[in-house]
Amino acid sequence: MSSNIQPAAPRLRAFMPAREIARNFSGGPVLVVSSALAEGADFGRDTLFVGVTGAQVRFFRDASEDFVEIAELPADLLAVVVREDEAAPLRALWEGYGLGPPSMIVVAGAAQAVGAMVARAQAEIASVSRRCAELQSALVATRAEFEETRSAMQGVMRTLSHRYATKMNLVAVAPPSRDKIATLAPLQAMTGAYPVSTEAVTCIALHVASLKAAARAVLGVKLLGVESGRVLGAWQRPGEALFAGWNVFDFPTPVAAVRETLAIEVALQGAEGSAVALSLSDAAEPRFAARIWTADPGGRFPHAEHWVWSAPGAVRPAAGTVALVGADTLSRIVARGRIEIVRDGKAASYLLRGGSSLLQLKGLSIHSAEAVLVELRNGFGELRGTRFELAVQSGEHCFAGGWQSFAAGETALKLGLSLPASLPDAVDLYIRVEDGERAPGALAGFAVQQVEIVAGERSTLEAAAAPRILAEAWPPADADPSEPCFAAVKATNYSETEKFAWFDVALEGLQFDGRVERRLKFKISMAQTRLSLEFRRGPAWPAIFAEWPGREQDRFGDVFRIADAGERLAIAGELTAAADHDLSAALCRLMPIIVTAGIQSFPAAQGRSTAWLDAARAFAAAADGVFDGLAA
Amino acid sequence: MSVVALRREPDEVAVAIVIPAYKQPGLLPEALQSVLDQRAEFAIGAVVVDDGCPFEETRAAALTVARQYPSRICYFRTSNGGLSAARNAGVAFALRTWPSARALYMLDSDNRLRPDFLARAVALLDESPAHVGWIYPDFDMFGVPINHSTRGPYSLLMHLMENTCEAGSLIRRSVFEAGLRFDETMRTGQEDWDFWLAAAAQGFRGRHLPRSGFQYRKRIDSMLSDGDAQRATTIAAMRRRHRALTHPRAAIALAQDEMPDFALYLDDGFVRQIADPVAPDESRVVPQAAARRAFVEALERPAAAFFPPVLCFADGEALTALTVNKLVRNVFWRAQILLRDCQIVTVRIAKGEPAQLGLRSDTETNLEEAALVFVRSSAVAAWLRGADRSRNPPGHLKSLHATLPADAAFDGVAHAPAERFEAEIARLTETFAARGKLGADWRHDNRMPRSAEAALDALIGCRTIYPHRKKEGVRDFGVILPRCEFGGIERGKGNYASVLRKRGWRPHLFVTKPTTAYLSPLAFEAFESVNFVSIEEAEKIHPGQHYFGMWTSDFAKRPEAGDLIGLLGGMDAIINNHSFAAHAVASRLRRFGVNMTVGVHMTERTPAGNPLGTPHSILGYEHGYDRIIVISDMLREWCIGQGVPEQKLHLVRNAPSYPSGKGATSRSLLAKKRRGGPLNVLFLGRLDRQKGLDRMAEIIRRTRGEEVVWRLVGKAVIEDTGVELADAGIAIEPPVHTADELDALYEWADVMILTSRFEGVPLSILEAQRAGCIALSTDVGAVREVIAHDVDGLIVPVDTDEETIVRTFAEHLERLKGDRRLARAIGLRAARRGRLRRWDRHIESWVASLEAECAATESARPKALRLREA
Repeated sequence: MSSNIQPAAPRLRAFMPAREIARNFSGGPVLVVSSALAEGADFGRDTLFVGVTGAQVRFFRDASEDFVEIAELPADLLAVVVREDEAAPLRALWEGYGLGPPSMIVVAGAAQAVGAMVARAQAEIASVSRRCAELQSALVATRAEFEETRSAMQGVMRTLSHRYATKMNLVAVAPPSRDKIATLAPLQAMTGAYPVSTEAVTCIALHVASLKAAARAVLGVKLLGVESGRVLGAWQRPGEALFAGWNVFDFPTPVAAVRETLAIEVALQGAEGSAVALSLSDAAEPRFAARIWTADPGGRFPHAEHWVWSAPGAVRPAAGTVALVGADTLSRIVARGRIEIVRDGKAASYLLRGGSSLLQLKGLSIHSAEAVLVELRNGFGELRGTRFELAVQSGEHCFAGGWQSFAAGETALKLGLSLPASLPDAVDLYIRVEDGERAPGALAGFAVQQVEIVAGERSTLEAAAAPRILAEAWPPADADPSEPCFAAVKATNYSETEKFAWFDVALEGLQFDGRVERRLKFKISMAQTRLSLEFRRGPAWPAIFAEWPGREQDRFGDVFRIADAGERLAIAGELTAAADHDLSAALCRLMPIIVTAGIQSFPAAQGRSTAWLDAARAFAAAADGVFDGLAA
Repeated sequence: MSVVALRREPDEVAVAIVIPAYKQPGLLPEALQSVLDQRAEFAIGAVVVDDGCPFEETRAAALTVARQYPSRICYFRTSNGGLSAARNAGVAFALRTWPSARALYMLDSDNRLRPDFLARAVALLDESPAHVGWIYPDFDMFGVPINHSTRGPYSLLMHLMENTCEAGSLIRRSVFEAGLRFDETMRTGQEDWDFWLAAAAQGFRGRHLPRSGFQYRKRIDSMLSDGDAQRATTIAAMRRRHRALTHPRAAIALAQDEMPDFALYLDDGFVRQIADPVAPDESRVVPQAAARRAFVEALERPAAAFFPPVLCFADGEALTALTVNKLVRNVFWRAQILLRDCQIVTVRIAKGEPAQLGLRSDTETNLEEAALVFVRSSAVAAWLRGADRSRNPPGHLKSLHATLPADAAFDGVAHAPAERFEAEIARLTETFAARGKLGADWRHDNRMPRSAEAALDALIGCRTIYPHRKKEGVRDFGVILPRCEFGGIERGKGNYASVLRKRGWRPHLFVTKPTTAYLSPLAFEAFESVNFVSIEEAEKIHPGQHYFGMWTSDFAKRPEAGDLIGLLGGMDAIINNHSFAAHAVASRLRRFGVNMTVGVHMTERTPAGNPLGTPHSILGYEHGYDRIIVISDMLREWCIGQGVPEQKLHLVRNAPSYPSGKGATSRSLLAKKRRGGPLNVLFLGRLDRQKGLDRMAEIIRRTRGEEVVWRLVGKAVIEDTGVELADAGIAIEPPVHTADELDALYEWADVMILTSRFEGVPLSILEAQRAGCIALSTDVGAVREVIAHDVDGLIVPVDTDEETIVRTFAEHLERLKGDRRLARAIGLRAARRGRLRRWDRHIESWVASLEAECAATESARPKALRLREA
């Protein structure tokens, strides 16, 4: 057995006042100084002292504190300043904790340590500076990459915004409860969370149950990511733009890849007495009735009405990005003057009767926009002599883009207007029309195909002001809402001969007398100048009559015809049921609009468009007498 | 950045965050920044534990922040010890440094928190009872974008199956103060799972924090993925380490607590979730409307919510009748098994013979007048979903027919549950149709569906659990019999049960073969429950598998063995009497902690001379038993000779199967003393071939007359025998069971005759002797141990030809007939000896040793603590 074996030295243990532990393991770097050297010397206020007594090593700032054993050693040390006899035990202490020895300055007296301490401090400063420089370089590189990415992203967004919107996916429906509502008074807010991810959300809809003095209030809506609490979208919708039913809130573009739980916060601001009652869903967790849609990233760039661009998280769109004003908004266009509105669901066409007229769209948001573009489409008839001008107006300020007309052979006309910087974020948009004199029967029609808002910096140059438009001075030309109407018309199979022309019609959503007929199908034909309708009974034909009124048959089976017999209608059958009578009356009255809308689908019919319209009007006029008489 | 969380004084720190750092220097600042960004009204401290990271940047990144936040963001370095060691070092530091911290949060250096995470987690922890030890988030991953939901009430049983709690959970300080730390030997993952299970064993539970804001960095080569290869091994070792939770007894109790098997619908408008129909848990009673919502919730989100897998619509009176007559648990257990193959099980109740109990299954019929209707929840779910529109597919309905004793107090079903069942399905359909279409979470839930049966099958290898809850301080004793009529073994074990009952045990009877049983009044009183195993061919022997020529069973290989284990696994001790099925699962039951005893009663041979009977069969299964009871010195010696360890053998001698009526023995002796006239000879027992009925017929023929009067009482049990006695000219009287009837027979009899070819220690001899009758028996089994020839009875040698045997019997009867004085003297000596035999004395030694071992087992079994209290 070897005699060189030494008895194991007792393991050194470290102690520290309990209250000092947190401070001694943070807020560094710290200078550790032997307490034996400290007497009479000034090492500064932020010094940690160390003393070795047998197997105990004590670290302290205030030696009067109660010491506890520690299982860790301070790590952020500038240096350990000790006497020769303390150096070895302290090295052993660090090694005993499985760590490399700290940087030590071994001296006989405090004064001798100064030089080495300064050197250590300089080294530490140099080290930190070096790291700082590296991080600055890294930050610069990261920022450069981010800028490039952002630019590239803007380019992509701009490009995508000029493409057709992709399909929206209805990902969640919280249907309105029959009896649960939440009534918001001014300054009240409510939040509801949905088991839906925020990722790719492009649109939400809230169901308004009722409104009270809403014109004096603004409904604030926010879409939040619950996990982070971030606001991903915000809208401030004036009460006058709210209505009972589903109110839609569009995002300018679908939410980026943020996968959090979706929450909707709703708050009301406004005068006392105003209130908005929102329908709630029947879920155990209280939440608003809502519909939530998603779309592909960059798949949709709607004009987000009442979007709050200043909300946290709302990013300005890239310059050149085009936002499309939605059909809901366009349906709010009011026509004034000598103009006739032909509605086809939400879409509308305008028939010109000569003279001046005006289309008005109030409260259009132009935040972050540099220009507005309006595209008109020539429906039918001659429009080359007709002038159009786009104008925006806010308060006393009106700016117009100049008069333009359809070029020969063109079916589209684009009106543009650069927006001056002086305009606020919401304006009224006008399309002025000068049609001159129009001969009877020389009908022409146009439609507002789309309105685009182009994002970008507005010109600060002083734009020439246009005369203010006094819209109220123009008589409204909109249709009587109590009149029959329909949602959509689809015309097919147009044929014509010299004396005879006809096409098939599928009419959807016919509304009259509080009743809605989902789908109707019939044939419209014109012989000379007289119109007739033809209904059939069979598997391919929707059963629209309560009692089949027809009395005739041909080689295709049962048929029922209503024909213009010259100031009266010839009804080849018997409308015994009141419902069938009302249906037929509504259809006959709508015939001018149905025919106008229908023949727009057939270029071949354009040559006879006036004849078609005249025949339809005559048919409707004849029907008035007949059905009024029947009703009597 | 919220200054609120970091501005306060260090001694106000309410939450301490531990951040182990190793080779993630670029990501550590993100983790730290997310700490700095916390919005909270309480103070937060954090410590970065540099786990000996070789990258200098780790230190620099941590110190950059630590230098800016004195006393709040700390840093220290250790030698590399792995994630668990680093966490533990951080925990120790945090506990010491921030005594005011009431919770600790484990943040890995590559993960992040949303700003409100800690405020939400602390709020939930603060509102939770003291036993909630940790608050766990969903798995919201970034990098590889995946979101997994962990919503729903915490289930420890399911946590034993898979780790449903992320390490990034907020942990109550008391968890660490209970001494819990991460296992530093686990360096390949699952250490957090192990930690949660250890905490659960200490009485802590988790609670889910929805929409928390925790972000888990998921990389393709994360540690968990690396650990996949070793996962199975690691998990198996971990489960072994947590025996307090995974021990079968603990796992079953956990399943019963968390996921009771039955939803019981009585006619009071409430639904009770029960694991034991005899001891319903009153804390799980909800109105029917709430139960419907819970059902739909579980149907829609089976991993997040639970509803019992079986619905039971019951008539209260019928349920009471089944309970009083000990059958109710068996009905529930059998129904659950039958529901595997059908949708609905009806239960009908009828009365049978006196002392008869039964439960048989059938394919049937209709729901009307059923006393109970059991429905499989999954079938209801299919109806609601419309996947299975037909409510009447072939075989969808099975029935159980319960037989109660003739005198049972049951007057028929008062409120037939069929209508309530139909109405409830209609209401459930409405509730399902009206459910929200939104779902509960947009995250995927890839956890296993909550199923106690699946969990127990995977964890402990048993299937349908006996609906029986353990009772604190009360042990359960199972008596297994292949059949139960009035045979000696059955009567003997009835007395075992009676004695154990008096000692505080709960005895349960398990009949493995037939679907009816007859219980003496003593046994009926003694047993807590009566159960018919009814597993088809459970007792079938394996024709090709012998152990020294003795048939054995391969039942253990069948899946139904899991059912038998589920049935018996909750017993503290079992005595098996001749059941091959029980032999087959005996060793598995021992691993459940069941103390196994097997009873050995006699040795017998087949007509071809092959060994037959329990002593032979147990030789192949001896390792599965802790104790072997023998009833005679002869059997004990035989067992020792066969190599059975002597210490396992317990000699428990038989005693009369029933306590005689008051004064019955004295009356019997007096009657015999006073009586002159013919010699009354009685045979009392099963009319089976074993009893030597051909001999008896011949003896009767030779002795019957005016001076020797015979009475034969009994019926065939095992075989359709007894025909041998058909020509004896004596009407066979039906068996009797009450003490009074038996006492009357023994009082009548001067001689009790037994002509058996093999026996153990016949109880009828012991009963006859007690009443002063002369037992006249063949020299079979251990008869010599209870009869001293010519002293207190008479023995006929059997090592001779049949004629000699018959002649000897006849001669003994002639002798007794002629010498009534001798007869009375023998009877008196028999009575003296008989009076000394008592079951409680005979089984004392075995019970004492059993109870001592049970106590030792119980104290050695690792115990999970009850839920922590404040």
